[in-house]
Amino acid sequence: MTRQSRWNRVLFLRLVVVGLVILPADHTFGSDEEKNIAKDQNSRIVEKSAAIEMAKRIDSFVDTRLSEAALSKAPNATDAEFIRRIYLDVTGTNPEPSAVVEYIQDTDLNKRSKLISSVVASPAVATRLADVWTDLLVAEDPGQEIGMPARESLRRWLYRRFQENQRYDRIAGDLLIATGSALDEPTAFFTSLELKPEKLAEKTSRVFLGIALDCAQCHDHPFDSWKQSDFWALAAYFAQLKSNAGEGALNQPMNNVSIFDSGTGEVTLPEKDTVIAPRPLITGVESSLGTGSRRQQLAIWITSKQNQMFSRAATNRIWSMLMGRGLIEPVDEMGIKAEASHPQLMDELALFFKASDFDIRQLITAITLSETYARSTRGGADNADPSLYATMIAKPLTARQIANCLRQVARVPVPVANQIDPWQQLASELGAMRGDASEFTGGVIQSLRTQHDPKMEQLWETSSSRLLHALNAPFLDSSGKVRWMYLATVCRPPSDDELRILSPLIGQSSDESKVAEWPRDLLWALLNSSEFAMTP
Amino acid sequence: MLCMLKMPISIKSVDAVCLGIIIVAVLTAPGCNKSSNPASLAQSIAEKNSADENAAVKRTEQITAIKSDVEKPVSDESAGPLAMQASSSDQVNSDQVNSVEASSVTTFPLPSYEEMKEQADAGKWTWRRYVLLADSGPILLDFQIAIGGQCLAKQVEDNKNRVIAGLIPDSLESTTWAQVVDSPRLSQSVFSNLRPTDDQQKKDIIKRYDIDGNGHPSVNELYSYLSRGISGRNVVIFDEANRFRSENSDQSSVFVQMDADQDGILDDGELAQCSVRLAKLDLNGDFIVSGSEVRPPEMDPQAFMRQRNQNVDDAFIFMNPEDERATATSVLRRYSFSNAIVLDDWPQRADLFGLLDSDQDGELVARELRRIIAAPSDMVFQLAMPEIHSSDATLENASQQSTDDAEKKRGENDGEKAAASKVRFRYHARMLNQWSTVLGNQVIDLPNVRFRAQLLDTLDQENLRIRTEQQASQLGITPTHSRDVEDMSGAIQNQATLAGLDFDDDKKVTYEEIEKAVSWKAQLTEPFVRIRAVDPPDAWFVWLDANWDDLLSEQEIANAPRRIAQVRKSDETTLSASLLPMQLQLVFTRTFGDEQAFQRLTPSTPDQPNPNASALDWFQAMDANMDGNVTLREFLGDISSFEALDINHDRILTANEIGSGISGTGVQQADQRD
Repeated sequence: MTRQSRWNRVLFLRLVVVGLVILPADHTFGSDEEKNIAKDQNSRIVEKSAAIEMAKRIDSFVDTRLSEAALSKAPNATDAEFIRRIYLDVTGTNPEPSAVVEYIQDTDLNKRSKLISSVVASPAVATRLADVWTDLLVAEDPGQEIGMPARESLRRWLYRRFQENQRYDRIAGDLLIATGSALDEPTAFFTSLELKPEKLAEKTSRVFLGIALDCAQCHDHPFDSWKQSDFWALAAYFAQLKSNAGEGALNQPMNNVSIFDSGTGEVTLPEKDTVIAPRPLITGVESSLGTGSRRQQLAIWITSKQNQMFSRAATNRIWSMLMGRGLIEPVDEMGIKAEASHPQLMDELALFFKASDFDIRQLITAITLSETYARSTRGGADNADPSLYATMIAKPLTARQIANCLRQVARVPVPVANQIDPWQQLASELGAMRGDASEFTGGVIQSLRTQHDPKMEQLWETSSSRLLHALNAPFLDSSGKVRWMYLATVCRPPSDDELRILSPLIGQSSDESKVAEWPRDLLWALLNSSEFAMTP
Repeated sequence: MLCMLKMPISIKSVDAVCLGIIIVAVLTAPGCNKSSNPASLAQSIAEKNSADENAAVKRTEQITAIKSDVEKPVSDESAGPLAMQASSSDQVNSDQVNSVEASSVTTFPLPSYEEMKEQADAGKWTWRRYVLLADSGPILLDFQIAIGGQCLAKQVEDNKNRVIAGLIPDSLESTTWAQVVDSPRLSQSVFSNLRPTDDQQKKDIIKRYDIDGNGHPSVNELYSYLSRGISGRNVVIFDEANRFRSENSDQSSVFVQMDADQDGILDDGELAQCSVRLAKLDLNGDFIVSGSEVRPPEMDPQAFMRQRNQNVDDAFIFMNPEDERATATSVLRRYSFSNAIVLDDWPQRADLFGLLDSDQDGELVARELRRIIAAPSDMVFQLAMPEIHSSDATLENASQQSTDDAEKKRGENDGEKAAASKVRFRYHARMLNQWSTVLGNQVIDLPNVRFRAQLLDTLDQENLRIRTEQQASQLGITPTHSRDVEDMSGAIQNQATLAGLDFDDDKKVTYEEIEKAVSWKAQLTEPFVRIRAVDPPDAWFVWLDANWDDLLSEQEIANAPRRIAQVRKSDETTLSASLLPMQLQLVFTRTFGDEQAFQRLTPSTPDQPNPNASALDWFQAMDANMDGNVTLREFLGDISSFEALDINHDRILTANEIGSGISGTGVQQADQRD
């Protein structure tokens, strides 16, 4: 019941960003020179020693706050909890049951570190990051904003760059200056927002700077220092963006329009004739405008190393992805007045990220190597402020994580490109019920849907369940079936208590129909448990 | 030249529509330089052992040895398909293949032409001889194909008798034609294409084959019906040629991708990063590196055929015993612009050259080349396929027989082991589902199981309806009952398949055409074996593709460093592209009936709680990526159970191993706890 109540209480992951960024003044995206630099960076090897040092600093800052508050820490997560956690957080899916067993049985004292290295180096990390950033950049609901092909095209674009472990600042920059069609460029970001400067400004500031500027669109921000003119000055960077299609055709599915910078176009304040010139959000950062399109100027300014908001926003987002909440919450409201739970840690981690040439894998390595990340979701001080991280926050799975886990239980491969993923479709529908298709929430409607949806039923019905068929292997007796069913769903062996409760069901019933039904019933229970839908 | 005969061949997945087998003959061991090739290795070993002898003496000795090999009697066991089944018990993994000791290479009594022909004539197998016109000299290949211990024609005949016996439970008089066409026995093996799918087909069959119209089948009527779709002629079809790896394997796009500093060698740092770099080869962003993304674009089939017809340098030619002259002419034109071949034209085949050069004048003319038809084989591929069984008992019997064979093999004395060590070639073989379907008169190879699932998914009428109604706007599909071929190209990338689907060539695929395509069963006109011979253009890709599905999965990419390390010598910290052994890859595809054939007939296993589950049902369900194999990562069960089933210790479970494992004693019932 504790888990259930936590399930209801936990805030959903809000993977939106805020921050400001930077790059050298002579930075030009996409040139041959840039590509060569990027090529060199592909062969970067994660500096694990630096990551280990950063992990110690993380623990130091967190422990200091806990000591000041006289709060006890939760014990370390169990092996099964930890491996499921890092797989879900970093690759977006459950570990294979055999990997769980292998990790549990590993007696190496450094096995956690080895696991982290192995998982962070996995190509699946790119899938996870591409999923996260795609959800951030374009809405999931294909009928509303952007067609599936364009969205997938953006996802693949991101995937390749994360797979190459490109610098995050370069990925952001390339995305902001994209031109052409969605076939080979990430222009879906722009077409999904209909090329409207105000929408693009709002999304850009949220994703890359961690600032929710939308309030300032109509009036000065009520709680922060942003003025209406700040918002429109940012929007002015997108005012010259044009397409080869009519306005109404932009969000039509399969309408693969090309976009380009026209060199003309301005924005004005709403209901006024005042033309607003493009201007960086914060002063003190040279925009190095010079030549180039407005978007190029914006990209240079945003990704500049002098722009602390860019590195802080990305750092906070990755921290939130792994720890369940940002050092600054909400992650997309990192305005000037926002305060971090651990200000020094926020600063150092952002510096670490910047010093690593915006290497996201190295940032993930540092955070996951910390003892703070390894804490259990149980134990520790009762009712402690979650921002103190005395206990690991149990995170509800996102729609994509749910889809991946369900597909794993279904024991079917990931669909190839252009194929519809039924599990993703289901998870998105469940998320959309609460307004955000990228999130999966455990409300009553969702629970009823997962318990009775025909697609879900395929997972546990005896005739159709591939997992149950697999568990019919002759070398698995009843207790073996139970054990591997647990491992295949919640990634842990059953506890003694659970086995005790299950024993009358699985072995000693005189009712033959009950004997035949117990695998289905148990699988149903496991898949509908809050444990399955949460990251431990 | 490598040394041991390795033929772990038997049926892997009997539920398949088609049975495919890939055999890789590793022609050059790792560590050998690029100039090494099959024949040169034996030669170089001989040279090493007698360094102070002059070349002429060495060559004479080699020729003498070869001639003596030809004259040696060959036992049935070493030459026949049954021997191959038995040899499966001592399968080796690729590591073992690569660690072949050169000293065991010298001689091997491969069967002579006469011997093989005699046994083929006796009905032991279907036999074909080909010559592979490799750059360094011809390689003679013999294929012995047997099914259930018999040649194909006999097997078909036996199947007919068995099926008829199964169709007639009591007597002909008490059996009706309606019972016959409804019988699940018709799903057996090559007969599975005879089973009607709807009432109209049943009526048509009865009307056509119930010749006397009495409603009851006669033996002749049944023979006529069962013979409808089969033929024993020309079961071997060569499919491909001229696709050999470049001598300069440094050009492997896979290797180049891994070699970050482009210095031609992989060092430790590059090895550590190779997975990340390999993933960059994923051009279409489907998170899998497919062979098509690595290889150069394939030639248009029509252009290929045109070139093939004009080009006498085909890599393979069939050696027709009835036309020695044609064979000799082809070989001559391949290697020489004059009327004779000199030893320099065959730099690696001094042995064969000496054998054919009967007048010892240092030249091979057409007259002498004609004798190549009867020269000793360089390789014998013995392909024995167990039949698909039709009753509960036969599967059990087959498993038992397999176990008995293995035990018999194990019980053989050291003398035989010594003989085995003299085998001239070792073949690393692995079974693979090679799905095919028949569209019209074409046979379309479906590259892998995933592709097949994709195709069927796309073809599925219900699925198409859903797409049309619910997602037409997203996919840009006109909500009519047809799809443009171009539209489908996104989902089905095999253009040949698309062309096959479009029966009326109107560039649209309709429901009717889809239905026609998936109900192809009656169009299969003969069982056959297709052979593709490929020395992979990008052998590094093949090397990393551990499960041979022509895809580098995420797991395979992650495992790349370990896989590459297998090639590297233990005392080296770097490796060059040329260290990879040269490979000759032969893909056999045998077409049976529809995919449900095995499913409908597979006996239930009393030990299994689900009465509908087949013996292999759990195995197929464990195969999460549906590639036909189960790796340790996919396996649900303790490592001890996995190892007990993994007979050849290659860390991959195949359906064949599962069949053996179930019937054996290696797998315990209980699953052990941590």
